Amino acid sequence: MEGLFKSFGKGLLYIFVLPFFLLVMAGYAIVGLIAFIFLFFKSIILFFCGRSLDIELPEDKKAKAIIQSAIPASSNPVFNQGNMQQPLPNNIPSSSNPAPMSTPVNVNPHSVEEACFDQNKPVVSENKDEVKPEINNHQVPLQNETIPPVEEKKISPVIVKSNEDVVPPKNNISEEKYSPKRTSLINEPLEENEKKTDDSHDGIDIDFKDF
Amino acid sequence: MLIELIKLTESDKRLIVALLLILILFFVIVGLIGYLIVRVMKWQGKRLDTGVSDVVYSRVITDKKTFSKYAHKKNWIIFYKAARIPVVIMLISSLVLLIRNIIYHDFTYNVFDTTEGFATILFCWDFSHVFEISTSLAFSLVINAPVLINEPHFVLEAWGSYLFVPGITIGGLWYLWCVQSLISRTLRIKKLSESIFDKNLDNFNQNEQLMNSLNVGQKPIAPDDKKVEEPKQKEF
Repeated sequence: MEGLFKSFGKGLLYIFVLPFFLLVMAGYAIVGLIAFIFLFFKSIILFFCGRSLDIELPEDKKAKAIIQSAIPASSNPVFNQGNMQQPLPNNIPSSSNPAPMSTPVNVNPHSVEEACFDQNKPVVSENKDEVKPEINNHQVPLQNETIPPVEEKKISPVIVKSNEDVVPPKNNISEEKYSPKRTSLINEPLEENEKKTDDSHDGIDIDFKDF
Repeated sequence: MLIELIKLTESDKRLIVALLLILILFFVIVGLIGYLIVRVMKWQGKRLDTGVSDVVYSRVITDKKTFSKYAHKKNWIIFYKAARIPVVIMLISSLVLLIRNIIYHDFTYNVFDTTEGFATILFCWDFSHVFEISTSLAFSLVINAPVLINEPHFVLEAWGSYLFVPGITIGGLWYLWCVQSLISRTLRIKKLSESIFDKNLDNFNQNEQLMNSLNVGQKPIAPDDKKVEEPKQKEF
């Protein structure tokens, strides 16, 4: 009933406003027609000057350039797939002078498929004399990257502090399994109350509780 | 006294109630149509955001005046691009009518004529004798049914109006739609230019911030406690 009376009141209001609205609309229609003629002749002149009446103004071009330049620096992995580096876990101290990646990432793909799927594929360096940098112990290697096995070297337990976004690479530290429930990256046996229901113990356990 | 003279019968009361209900229903329908128009205009105005969002996000434009100027410029270009098709339709329709008039040497042609105009393909009634009021002997009101004067039939000479009237109607309505979009975007620009660069001090209190920074209300640390907290220096 309240809605009905509201509609009734609005209807009464619109009846009074309607003549003014029609007046404004007629005014805009006439002004629009004049503007249309003006823009029509302007577009003709621009056409003969070799340009066109583009909807993209100089401000838009400037904005586009700013956005394009900001994309590579963005931390969002959707934007900078080509330049994305593997994020480090929080507890791993980053060295003051971080070593470069052992294999260069193909940042200039030749095809869309290459850009989308072969980002971590190592590019064969043409210069064979180039000195390859040493692998930093603290650096988390990329996927598909092979590291020669280091003898007599124990991987120390690494504790991740509630950073569920950081997913370690699968291939390189295959022994290490990360579980957000356990908040650890170690080979320690599961405790009784933390035992998984899944028998396989493969893959990454993702908890969607906080999503 | 006057109220006593007015005596309504039961049928009169029913008639008044019915008329009131019809009036309320009419205003409710108008209100609903108006609500629909407002919603459509809001939707039309929102389409401006796609065009102007980049310059705002990238901070290319940082003040109200520049934004308003830029957005209005863009608004007119959008209108020009949108109104091209309806204007072309209307122009072609007018050209067809002009050619028809030139062919028949008739520049006093009525496009809605019932003999050679668009009305030949419509039903037409004569409403001039619907209400007949006679006051000769006594007041009487006679309501007659309207007389059908034309049934739809095709006339070859009216081809110009057959093309002109639908074309100008479609083009005109389309153009009015574009004008409504133009008005909606103009209103949106006004709203955005006020909201984007708005510096609102409603929830800001400088004194409150100052007092919070001074930790007012907390117990001051005793000088003895300070001594205890200080680590002892190693003796060499």
